[in-house]
Amino acid sequence: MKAAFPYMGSIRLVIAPILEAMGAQVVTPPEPSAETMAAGARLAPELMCLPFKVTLGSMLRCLEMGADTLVYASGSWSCRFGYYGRLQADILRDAGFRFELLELRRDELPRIARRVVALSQGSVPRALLRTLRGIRLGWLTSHTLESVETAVRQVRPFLSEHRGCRVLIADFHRRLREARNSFGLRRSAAGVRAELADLPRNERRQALRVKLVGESYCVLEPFVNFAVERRLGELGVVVDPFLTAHRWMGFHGLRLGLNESDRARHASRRYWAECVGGEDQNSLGHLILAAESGYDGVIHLHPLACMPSTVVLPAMMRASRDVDIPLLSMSLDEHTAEAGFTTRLEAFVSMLERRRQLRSRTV
Amino acid sequence: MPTVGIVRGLHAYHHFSEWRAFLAALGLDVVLGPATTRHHVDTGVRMAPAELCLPFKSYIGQIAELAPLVDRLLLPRIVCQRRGRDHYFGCPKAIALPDVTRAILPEFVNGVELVLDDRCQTRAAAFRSLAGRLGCRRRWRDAYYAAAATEQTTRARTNITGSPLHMFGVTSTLGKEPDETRPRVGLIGHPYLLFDDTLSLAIRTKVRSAGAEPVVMTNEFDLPGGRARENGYLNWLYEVDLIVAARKFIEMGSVRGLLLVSSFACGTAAVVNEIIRREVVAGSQLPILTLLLDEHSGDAGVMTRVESFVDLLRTRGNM
Repeated sequence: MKAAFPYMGSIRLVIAPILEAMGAQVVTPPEPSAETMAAGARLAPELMCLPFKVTLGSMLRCLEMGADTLVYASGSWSCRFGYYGRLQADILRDAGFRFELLELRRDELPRIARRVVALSQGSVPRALLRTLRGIRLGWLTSHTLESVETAVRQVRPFLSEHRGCRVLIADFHRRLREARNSFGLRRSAAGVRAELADLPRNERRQALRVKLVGESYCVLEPFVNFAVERRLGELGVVVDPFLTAHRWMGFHGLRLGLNESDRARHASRRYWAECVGGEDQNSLGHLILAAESGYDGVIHLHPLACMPSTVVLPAMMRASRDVDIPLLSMSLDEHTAEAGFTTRLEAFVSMLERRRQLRSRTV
Repeated sequence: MPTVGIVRGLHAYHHFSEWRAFLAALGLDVVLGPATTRHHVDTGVRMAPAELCLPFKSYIGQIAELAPLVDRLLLPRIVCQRRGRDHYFGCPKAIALPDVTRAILPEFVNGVELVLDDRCQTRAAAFRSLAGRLGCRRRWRDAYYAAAATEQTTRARTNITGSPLHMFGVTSTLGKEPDETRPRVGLIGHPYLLFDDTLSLAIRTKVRSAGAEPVVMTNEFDLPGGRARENGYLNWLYEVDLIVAARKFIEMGSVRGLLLVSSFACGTAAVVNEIIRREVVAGSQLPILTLLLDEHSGDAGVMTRVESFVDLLRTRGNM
């Protein structure tokens, strides 16, 4: 089995070892690019959301690279995300590709289990053992990734020169891919931490703190959000995304960290009664929680015409006024230009700086 | 007697009779909002975020006009309904309607919610709590049965007349009897768009004046858990209606072309139109025209497209 799954931020670094430990070959497409997006946009329905188009493009690339099984997370709910797997499979079959579709849904579990057992030559204990081993390795990888990424987010605004940091992260991702056990993972993380501590610092004493909320894909995938985390970090802002690869796996895959989503849900209750998908309730809740814990601003990213994010926007604007925290909401699609995006980001950051200065003066 | 307002928009095109019968049986005075005008659209566009769909924007405009005139305003929240063994969901806008309204128009506090969520409560319980919120808990049961009976007769009448407009006391906006000799065009779209002449720019009249006969499939999807699931996988309730309509048009072979009418930023349309297109390609060779409407759509542009589509149907018919 040559498996491929939708490309989303650094999640590939976590899922690939799990599938490999189960005995599958993993086809990882190159990072999304303008060509990938154009290929996806050509085949996808015009008004479909951006993540659909980009992942469709990268799945197309995977099939060209020889993948024969496509693995999707899925769900039956009000958001279009639940239709990604089936709709993309239909479109790709029409484009002439032959493959097997595996959707991670409750009613598909028996079929998935059979496929996993088949990967271990029909031995159930062996399949079970390999799966558990895979999940353990995936979890450790994800944990390592999270700890390093958090450290980088904290340090980046205080660096005098950013190129070193970028090289360091690229190098860390490479090492993570090569690590085969927990020892290797720990060693790579320790190495990065040490090198990070050695990078030269600038004069800055304090940094702005910004919460990043919005639709999962737009928050997680640096290609569509123009590496907003890095960009903000280099502008001197400590960014805290409400969702990271690690948390995505935890929230959606293993249903961990429920305490945090419960808190977000509780905070948003005044404005929002029912979660409709696309992280609407979480975004709203995290906006309120961010105001309570003293963040300087909130950035909300979502694909153009994303249904949940669009409907939640009025409530977020109302909440941001009520709890007094600036909110910048940007919708992204395949025509969003980097310069326009950056300009708005920079203007927002200067506004936050000015606001903080004024506040410290009045206090 | 306290008055309860119901906006003439969105899912009122499906359920207005039922809601009115229920509220009237509780002894309340029901006020139906006026038909959509350009003014409602403009107000809604000014207030709502740019990326909401057109019917929702005009709904906001209509609320702004109706809410000050009534004691309470009915805000339906259609989350999930059961058909057979499956659960079907409303689109995110139908689910979040009361929240969005409150966020955009916080000064109106007279909204009263009707929450339809079959996952956690029965339909009867939903109406009981609505009655409770309106302070008429005592008579809710009789009112509920009256509403259910009205819903049945209304649906039958909608199927016969081919339009839900009779609910609002409008006989027909189309005028004279259909002409059998003209090519028939199947219109597929949400009733709150197709039958609203301001939002759809009178699309049915345009089709007729272009020389074709507009046909709308009004039968609601009521097949117990069946057909729609066969090869499809949709679980948006009101969108399954559209797929079923398309399928019937294809099976019956009674129309020469399909006109898919949806609004820009209607998220479900992207999926639904794609599925319909696939089924049409597989099942027949009907020509399809997709019309996307928004607040900037111009009369002339839509007319030109409809005319050329009807011309195409005629040419194909003569070949």
